[in-house]
Amino acid sequence: MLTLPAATFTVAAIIGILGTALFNGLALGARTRNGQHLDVSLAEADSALDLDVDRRLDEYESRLLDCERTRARLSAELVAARAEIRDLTESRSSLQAGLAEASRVLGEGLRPMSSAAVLDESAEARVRLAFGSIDQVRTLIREAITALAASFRGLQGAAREQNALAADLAAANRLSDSEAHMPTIADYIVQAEETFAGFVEHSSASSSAAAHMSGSIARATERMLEVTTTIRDLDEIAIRTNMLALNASIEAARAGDAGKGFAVVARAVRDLSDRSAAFNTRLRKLIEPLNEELAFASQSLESLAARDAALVDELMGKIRNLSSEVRRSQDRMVGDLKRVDALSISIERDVQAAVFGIQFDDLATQLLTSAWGALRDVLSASEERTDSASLPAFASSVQQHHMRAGEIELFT
Amino acid sequence: MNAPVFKPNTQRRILTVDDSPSMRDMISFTIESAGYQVVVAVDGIDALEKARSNAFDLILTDQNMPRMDGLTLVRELRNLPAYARIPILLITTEGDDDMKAKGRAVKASGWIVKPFSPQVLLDLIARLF
Repeated sequence: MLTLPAATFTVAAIIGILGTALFNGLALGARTRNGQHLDVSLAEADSALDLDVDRRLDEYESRLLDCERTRARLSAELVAARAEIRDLTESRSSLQAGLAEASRVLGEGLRPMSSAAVLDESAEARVRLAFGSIDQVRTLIREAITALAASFRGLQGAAREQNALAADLAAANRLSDSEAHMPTIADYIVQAEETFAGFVEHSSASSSAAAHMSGSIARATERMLEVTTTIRDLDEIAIRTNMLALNASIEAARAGDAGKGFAVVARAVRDLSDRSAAFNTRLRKLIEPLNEELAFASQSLESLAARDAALVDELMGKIRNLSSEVRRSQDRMVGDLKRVDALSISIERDVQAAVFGIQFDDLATQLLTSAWGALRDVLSASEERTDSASLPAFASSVQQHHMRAGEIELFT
Repeated sequence: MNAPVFKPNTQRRILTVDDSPSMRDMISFTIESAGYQVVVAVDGIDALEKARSNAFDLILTDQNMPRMDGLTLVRELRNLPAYARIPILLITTEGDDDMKAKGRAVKASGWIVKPFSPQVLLDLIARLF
């Protein structure tokens, strides 16, 4: 489809072409008619040529008439088209004016809608909800962070206390040279072993002494047996002496008065023999329990020496086991202390990382405060139906998008 | 033994200024752990009042605070003879060159962009003392 300007141009071009053809046709017709008069005599001579010229002229005239009719028609159409174009132009102008007016009116009407933060009731309620939620989040974060900060403070305090305790224990176990004057568990073990070695030595010496004493008692017992045998020999001698004294008495009696003196001697010998027998009996009674005592003492000493040796062996075994246990325990404790030490350092590091992380609160709170302020501005603008262009510029001072350590710079 | 050794340094007094309770707590927790004495202020006005009535060896201040921001506080402090030369560090969420230029203009000693490592802060303080 042609647009109006294009249609106008096309019609003008056609009229132009037709106008030129008409002018040329008229000029050509004039020349032809003059030639016709000039060549009458010649036409007679060449009637065929005349006839042809007439025919051509007729054709031209006919065409000229056609052209004229076409021109007239086109001219009429052109006039109509121009009228139509004029009408359309007027309509367009009118429409443009109407549109401009409508736009102006609409713009005026829409301006508060488009540039001011005018919210409908539902949107305003949602903004208020968001407003409240942000406030709620800020409160929650603040309370959580306060609790977390207190918790980390306690954790770090406990870690440091644990670290100090581990350091004390380590010093006591000579893990550190800071308190070298303090005796260690190893020192106690060495001292205990030395003390017990002294005790063992003393016990061994006692056992040797007991064994030696037992030998002495055995030898004394043998001597006592010899003494007993001797007493038995003395008994025999006393019996024989008594028999001899009895025989002497008998012989003295048989000799009569001559044997009276001999009878006195025989009686005296018999008295000595009786006294000797009584002495032997008393001596035997004294020696026999002594033998029993010596035997008992010997057995006791032997038993004591044997028991001491067994006890020393048993105690030595126990002390060795105990020392090994204490050394193993100490090694375990040293290992545990090193682990506690490492854990304390790890906790300290973790607490530092947590303390670093807590700064998200400040960043988040600042962002929430910005969002809160922006919403408040929108809400105020909506309530007051003010132009949003009058709202303060909105920009957050928080540039961070991640919890990565920020830059530090000292100004010189 | 690799455990950190915390030697109390009770001679140094540090004023830390931040409107965020958690940041105040975090900074005072960190520097108290290293043995420094800490006083906290909630904004520039509060800090200025405390600085006038106490002596501090170092001031750490947030930038964005109600009532008086960090840059204004630094400018005000530098006008006080007692604080003309002591180190004052700005701690902020903003790290662009324009803001740093403003920091230099008010004669701040340095600029720390949040978040920062507590240990890095302690190292920085140790360098300043």
